[in-house]
Amino acid sequence: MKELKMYQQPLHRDTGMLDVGSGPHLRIGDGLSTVHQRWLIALLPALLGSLYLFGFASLRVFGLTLLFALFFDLLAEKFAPSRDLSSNWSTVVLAIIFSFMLPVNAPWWLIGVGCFFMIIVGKKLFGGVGAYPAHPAALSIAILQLSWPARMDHTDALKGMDWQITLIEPLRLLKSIGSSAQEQYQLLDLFLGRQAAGSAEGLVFLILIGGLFLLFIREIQWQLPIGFLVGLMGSSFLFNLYDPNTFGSPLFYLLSGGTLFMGLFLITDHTTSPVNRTPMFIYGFIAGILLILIRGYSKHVDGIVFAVLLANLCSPLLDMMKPKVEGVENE
Amino acid sequence: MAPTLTFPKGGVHPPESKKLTENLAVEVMPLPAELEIILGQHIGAPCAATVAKRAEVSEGDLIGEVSKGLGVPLHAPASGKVKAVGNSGHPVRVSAPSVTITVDQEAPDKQYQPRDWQNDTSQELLKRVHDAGIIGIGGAGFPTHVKLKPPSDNPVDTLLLNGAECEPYITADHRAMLEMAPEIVEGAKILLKILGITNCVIGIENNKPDAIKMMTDAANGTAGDGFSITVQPLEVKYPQGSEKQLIQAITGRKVPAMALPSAVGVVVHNVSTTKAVYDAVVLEKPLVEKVVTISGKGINRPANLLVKVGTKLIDIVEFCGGVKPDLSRVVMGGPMMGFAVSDLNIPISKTTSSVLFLTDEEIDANPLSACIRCGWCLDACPMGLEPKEIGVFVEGNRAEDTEQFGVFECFECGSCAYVCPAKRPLVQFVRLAKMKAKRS
Ligand code: SF4
Ligand code: SF4
Repeated sequence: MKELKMYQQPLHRDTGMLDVGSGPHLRIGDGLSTVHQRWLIALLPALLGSLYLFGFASLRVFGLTLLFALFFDLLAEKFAPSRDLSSNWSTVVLAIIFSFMLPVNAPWWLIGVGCFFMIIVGKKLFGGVGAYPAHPAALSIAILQLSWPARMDHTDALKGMDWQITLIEPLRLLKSIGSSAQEQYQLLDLFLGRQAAGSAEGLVFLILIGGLFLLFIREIQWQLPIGFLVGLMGSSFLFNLYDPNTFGSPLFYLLSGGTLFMGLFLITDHTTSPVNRTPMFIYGFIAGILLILIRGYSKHVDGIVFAVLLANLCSPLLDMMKPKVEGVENE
Repeated sequence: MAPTLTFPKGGVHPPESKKLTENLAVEVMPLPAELEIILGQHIGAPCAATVAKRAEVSEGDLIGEVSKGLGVPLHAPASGKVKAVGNSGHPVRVSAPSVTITVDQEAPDKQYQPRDWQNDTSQELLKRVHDAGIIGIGGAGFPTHVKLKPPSDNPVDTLLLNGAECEPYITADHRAMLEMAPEIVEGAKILLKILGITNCVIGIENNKPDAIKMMTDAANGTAGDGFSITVQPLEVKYPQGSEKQLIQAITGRKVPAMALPSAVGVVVHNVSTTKAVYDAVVLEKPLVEKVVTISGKGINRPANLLVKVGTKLIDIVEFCGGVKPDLSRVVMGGPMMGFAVSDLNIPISKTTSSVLFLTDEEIDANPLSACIRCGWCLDACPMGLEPKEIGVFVEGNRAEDTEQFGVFECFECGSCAYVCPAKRPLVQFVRLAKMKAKRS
């Protein structure tokens, strides 16, 4: 019976006891940081493309954004620690998403102010990942666009570029001279990212690759981008019929500015999008229509962030549409 | 081979980890020095001990009986002397009344002679099942004779045998099907006779092609007896072996909420339970031993063991060559629904299908963070519930309001917590919610 004693208490290395816990004892993945890292991978193609195209200018924007965002995140964690262990990773993702929509010549203070609003106000004050009601990056860009419209002008930012294309944001030209503006642009150019837009949001092709990756690994659900696509294409088609002078063609809307970036990276954000499948579709659909309305009738040029913020507001309402649970009386 | 079927909603694919034991034949574990038999083996009131301290018992003697309710009697798993009628450790209830028997190692093995059961009436057969103390071996341990007496207003037309064994690691049913296929089929015939029907389908996940073949062969051997026994391969997906999911996968019928399978004309039994029915009726042998999978990376010699009910984990550990230093958690039952135990003096019960010795590398004890609203738990839930919402409500101290999300429909399969990237202990939340919601 001597050996028996040896097994009597198989000692755990650290605690000296057997570990207990509620099932399931198996879990998949390494937690939230994996989720954020996947988003980073998906953002990578466009990020590299931007570095290739704009070189140091976009490196500066990405670097400064990351620095400011992480600084504010660490500061906030210091004064109000959250239980979100992956907070830094989510901040990195938000920072990259934010910087994609900045003009490449954004001054450092603009980036600093933007990061403050994004991290401190948009993310932390509302309770961090899982709790914020509006997409922090979209919120912050919206604030910047309203406060310093001249600084958020992508046409101005790309003045010095030597591209053999019209160096005006397609949607800006559309707004000022009406739908004849479309003749100034090749759809293929737009698709390949040869258009005046933020540091990376306009790299349609590369954004698409990243988004398809997210869809493929089921990180995001297809209902969101497809709903968005249907809403966008459908409404722009109808508006185009109704007022062909003001509204461009559906494809033109789809390929210019940050449309695809919004459909694949902004409205698909886990925290702000609905959790059920049908509401997801409706949410994407609403976002698509809102985008066209904003582009057509407001003074904002691109308007993706406003469409995102407005759609965010619908999300809690949409989530009240629940699948019917068997055996529970839903009144 | 017939096309594989599966249930429509949710489900997950945890790593199977069955390689460790699936090719190991069932070993008979030598009798330990002492057995502790818990008196409450199944749902409902525990048995009252019918033996006193220092009484001599021999294998198969009655040691506990239930006077009321659904209970079944309890038998001595081995010959020996009653050392105490007291308490034992229990994986869920922490401590439970039990009978301790000091095993007489010299006593000769009891011999069982097969008898002819064909002439018994179904009432007699049912009584034998009850008297042998048979309960559902695979899961919650519902007394088998109760399931065999469905309410008369719901005529039953199909018997399903559950050989899905969807929990990772466990291979006890798999080995039983390989090594005892004819007995299981014979048991199925007994069950069919008791129910007065002829149609039986055996559902097996198709990661066990050898078992599917053995069972098909055994089932084909019975053609001409007037029974229709077929094998149905199932897709590998957790929780395929859950009653409602299995019924929907095989028959396409949906069991209504809060209803028993008999509401849709089906009765489900586990294959190992069926083997126990065979033992009870043909060999007149009560349920005193069972096949248990001993597995996980934390044990030196994984095995499929035939052990007596009441064998303590510590004796099993000793027989299996001890534990490895990086052992972290010992789980009774599967890794998805099993219970972690805090020490090894806990005895095996009739419902224990496996004991897993899991290392740090196999378990996941990461801390939780806030729900990020990804919705993956909703996709994983086979019942179509909203585990996320239940968790949020419980954390917000509104557990009693969670009935709207169907907490009582949740059978705690753990699929939701398995996929949750925020590592939220959703099953724990559900259990809490059930307790609170019931109280209010
Ligand atoms: S444990 Fe309950 S809520 Fe979670 S997946 Fe299983 S049935 Fe659904
Ligand atoms: S899987 Fe986890 S993080 Fe995702 S919605 Fe469900 S509870 Fe929230």
